[in-house]
Amino acid sequence: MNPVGQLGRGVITKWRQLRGLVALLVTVAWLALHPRYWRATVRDVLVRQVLFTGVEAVRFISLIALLVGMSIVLQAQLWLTKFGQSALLGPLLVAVIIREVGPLLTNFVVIGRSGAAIAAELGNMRVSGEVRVLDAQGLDPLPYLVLPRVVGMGISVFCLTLVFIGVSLFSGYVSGMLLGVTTVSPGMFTTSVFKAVSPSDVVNVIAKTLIPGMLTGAICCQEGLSVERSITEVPQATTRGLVRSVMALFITSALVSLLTYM
Amino acid sequence: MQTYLLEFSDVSVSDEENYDAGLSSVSFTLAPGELLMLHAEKQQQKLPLFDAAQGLVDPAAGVVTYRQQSWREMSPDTAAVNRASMGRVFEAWGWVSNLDVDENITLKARHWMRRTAEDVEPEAVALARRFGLDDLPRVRPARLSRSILQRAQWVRALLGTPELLLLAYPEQYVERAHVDALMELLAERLAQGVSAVWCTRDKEIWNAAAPKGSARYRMRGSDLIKESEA
Repeated sequence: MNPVGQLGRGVITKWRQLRGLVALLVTVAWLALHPRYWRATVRDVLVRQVLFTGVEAVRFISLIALLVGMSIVLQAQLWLTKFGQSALLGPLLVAVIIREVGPLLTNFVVIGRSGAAIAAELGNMRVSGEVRVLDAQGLDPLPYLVLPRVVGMGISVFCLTLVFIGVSLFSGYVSGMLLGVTTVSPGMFTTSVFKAVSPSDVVNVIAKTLIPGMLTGAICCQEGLSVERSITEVPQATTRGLVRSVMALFITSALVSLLTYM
Repeated sequence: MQTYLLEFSDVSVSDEENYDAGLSSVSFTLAPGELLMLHAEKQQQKLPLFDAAQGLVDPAAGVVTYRQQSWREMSPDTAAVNRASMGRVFEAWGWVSNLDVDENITLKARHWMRRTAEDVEPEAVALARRFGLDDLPRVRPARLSRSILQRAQWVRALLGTPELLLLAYPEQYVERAHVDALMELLAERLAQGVSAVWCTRDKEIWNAAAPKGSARYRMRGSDLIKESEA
C-alpha cells in the first residue's frame, strides 16, 4: 500500500475507534441513568470494582502522595519563604497539587493498575467464552460488565485524588515543619490552601478525575472485549488500552484546564 | 393451531465461527413439553445449534424463532429476557472464572428474578443433592473436578423455572447413576411443560433418555436428520 493509502487507513481506523468509544460512552451514560439497569448483580460488580480500583489502591496512592508532598510542597515552601512570598503558598499549592499533579498522577496509577487489569480480564473472558456464557443467561455484557466498570473507575479516581491531595499537603507541611522550613502554623497553612481554592478548582478536580477515569474504563473495556479468539491478542489489547487511556488522559486534562481557566 | 416454543426454519450457519460443524438448512419445531434428542458425531463438540437457538449467532440463511418471535426482530432487552428463560448446559467451559461456583449458579436468578442468594440457595441445594452433591460448591470453578462442575451446570440450568433446557452433552464426565437422576428430573420437568433439547454422542443415552413421543435426530456433518419418534 502506498504512503497515502497507509495514512488514510490509519485515519479511518482511528476515526472508527473514536466513534466506537463515543457510542460506548453514550450508551453507558444512558444505562447509568436508568435505575432498572442497576440490578443487585450489577451493583455487586460496581462494589467489587470500587474495592479493587479505589480501596485497594489507597495505600499505594498515599505512599506516592507522601513522597510528592515531601518534594513538591516542601520545595514550594522553601523557595517562597526564601523570596519572602509565603502568602503565595496556598495559591501555588492549589495550582500545582490540586489542579494538575493530583488528578494526573492518580489517573496514571489507576490506568496502570486497574485499566490494564480490566482489559486483560475482559480479553481473557472473551477468549475462554465467558462473555458468551453470560450472554446465554440473558446477562447483557454492556450493563453487566461495562457499566459498573466505567462508573467504578470514575468514582475511584475521584476519591483517590482527594486522598492524594490530602496526603501530599499533609506530608509536605509536616516534612517542612520537621526540617524547619515551615514558618506558619497548621491552621494558617490549611486556611491559606482553602482560601486559594475557587469554585473553578472544584469543577476542575471533578472533571479531571471523573472524565478520564470513566474514559479509561470505557477504553479498556472496549479493547478487552475486542479480543476474539486467540490468547495472544490479550496483551496486545491491554497495551492498546493503556496507550489510548494515557492519550485520553492528557487530552482531557489539557481541554479541562483550557475550559476552566481561560 | 399448534404453537411452538422454538422453531428452526431452513437455518444455515457456517462453521467458520469456531464451530466443529455448521448447520445446513436445518428445520425443526419444539412445542412446550417436548424433548428433542440429538445424536452428534464423535468429532462434533461445539455445534452452532444451541447458540442459534439462543439468538447468539445470526444464521446465514433461515429464521430461528423463540416464543413466536424471530431473534432478528427482538430488541436487545427482549432477547436478554428470552435467553434468561432458558437453562443451558454448555458444551465447553461454562463458567465465569472470577465468581465462585455458587455465585455462578445463582447469578441468573439473582439478576432476573431479583431474588437474593439466601432465597435462591435452598432450591439450588435441593437440586444439587439430587445429583449427588452435598452442597453448592463455594470455590472458584477452576478448583473443581469436571464431574462436580458438570453437575453444577445441571443445577444452574434447572434452577428457577426455565421454559427451555438446552443440554449439550450433559452426560460427559459424570457417572451413569447421576445421569439417571438427571433423566428422572428432566421427565418431571417435561411433564410440567418444559421443553428440552439434549445433544449427546452416547447412543445408549440417546435411546434411554427420550421418553415416549420424543423426536430423535442425528447430526450428519452439517445436516440434521430426523430418525424416528421414541
